[in-house]
Amino acid sequence: MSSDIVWQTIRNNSAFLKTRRNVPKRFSTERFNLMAVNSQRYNGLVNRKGVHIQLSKDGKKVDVLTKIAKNEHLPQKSTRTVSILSKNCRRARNGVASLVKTYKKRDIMPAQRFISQLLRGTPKAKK
Amino acid sequence: MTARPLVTVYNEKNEATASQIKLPAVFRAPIRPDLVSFIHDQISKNKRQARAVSTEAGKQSSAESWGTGRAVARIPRVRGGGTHRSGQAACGNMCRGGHMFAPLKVWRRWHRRVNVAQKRYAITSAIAASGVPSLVQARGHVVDNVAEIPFVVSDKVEGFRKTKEAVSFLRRSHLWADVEKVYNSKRYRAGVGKMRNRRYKQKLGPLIIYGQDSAIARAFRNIPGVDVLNVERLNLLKVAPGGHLGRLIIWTESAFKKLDAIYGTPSTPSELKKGFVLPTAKMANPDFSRIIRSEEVVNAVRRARKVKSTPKVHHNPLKKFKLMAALNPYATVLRDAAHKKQKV
Repeated sequence: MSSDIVWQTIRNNSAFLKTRRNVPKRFSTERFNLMAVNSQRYNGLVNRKGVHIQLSKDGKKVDVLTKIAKNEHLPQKSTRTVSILSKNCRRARNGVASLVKTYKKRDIMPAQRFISQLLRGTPKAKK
Repeated sequence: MTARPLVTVYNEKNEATASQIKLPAVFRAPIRPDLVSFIHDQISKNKRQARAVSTEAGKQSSAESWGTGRAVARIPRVRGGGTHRSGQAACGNMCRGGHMFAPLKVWRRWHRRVNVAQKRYAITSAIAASGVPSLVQARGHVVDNVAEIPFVVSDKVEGFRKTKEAVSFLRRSHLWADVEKVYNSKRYRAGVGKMRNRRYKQKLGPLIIYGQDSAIARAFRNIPGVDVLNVERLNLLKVAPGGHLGRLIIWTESAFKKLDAIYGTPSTPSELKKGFVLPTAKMANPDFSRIIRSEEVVNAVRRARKVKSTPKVHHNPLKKFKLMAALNPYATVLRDAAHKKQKV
């Protein structure tokens, strides 16, 4: 589905859109939006390809999810998950960059920023 | 994107059956949020019941104006005596106990007539939007684990008699998360509606569209948030609730097959809707990135001229002798003389 048409439908009206008074920027909380900003470029629903990063369920690894463009209409099979085992920030950043480089170059920087913030927010493992 | 792929039919246990149906042409109708919003607005006015203020309200007083010369305003005043009320102003919209400004009348235009063609356009647009997973997610439905969108289910679902079967089907098909969302969203309505039999509000869950009249509604109707519709009598208020596109729709196989007959295809007219032809979009190919990358455009367009502007760095001639020499040729002479002096 053309991302432009879907964007025109969603841009002002979406379950994930977050607006607040006195906050001039609009945020968007859907998956595959690495900057969490409401814009066509970063939107996770509208674009065929997308990267998402989250902590794995057991909290020990970092999962990098990518959208499988062909399976857009099959939600169950539409994501591919690769786990990054290291929670060391530099290693995780490099890991993410190598995963994303061949998939969607434009998302390397947002992915690295996201993973840095994510790891910053997780409590450090006790030595 | 006018390609019409095959959609797999799933059975009530969420296993893919061998049956596949070509996507009905309705799903390629143009998606028009503006039109759907407008038509929804108009149609939702049609269920309104007249309300008005009583015709005699505020006028049931034999009040009469005292006229001029009595140092009071000329508003009608209540006659008689012996009570606080006597002499008080009555009958005006500014008076206490008087009638309101512009009393509400029953003959207000409550309903809206909508052109049939527009109503049909809106419904086709809403159906098309329900086939786009992004729009369904953006509307707020939880579809992360649903097998396919549009979701088509075998006709066994139409034979459900018990809510238990319906619930088990929704659970198996990973649609229960959407119903749980409904359960979690139940809350008190804000405002006076609470005391007017509209106490609770909750979100909407999936919509089930069936093809043959059966007792399916009875199986699903007690599940909060779930609506059931017959494919021949689709309701825009349910397919695009709130005027918003992208409701999660579960089609039964017979309903899905009927869509081509009801709405027609670009090559065959609709069998059920007289004179109806599926709407066409203004742009055949709305995908901007595909257009600019297409052969025709790429061949017609010259290369982008990248004007490399490197900033000009100005070095200091006092520190870089070559620059000094370029500016002042005599500097070389001076330097050599200085060197000679040092040696001596």
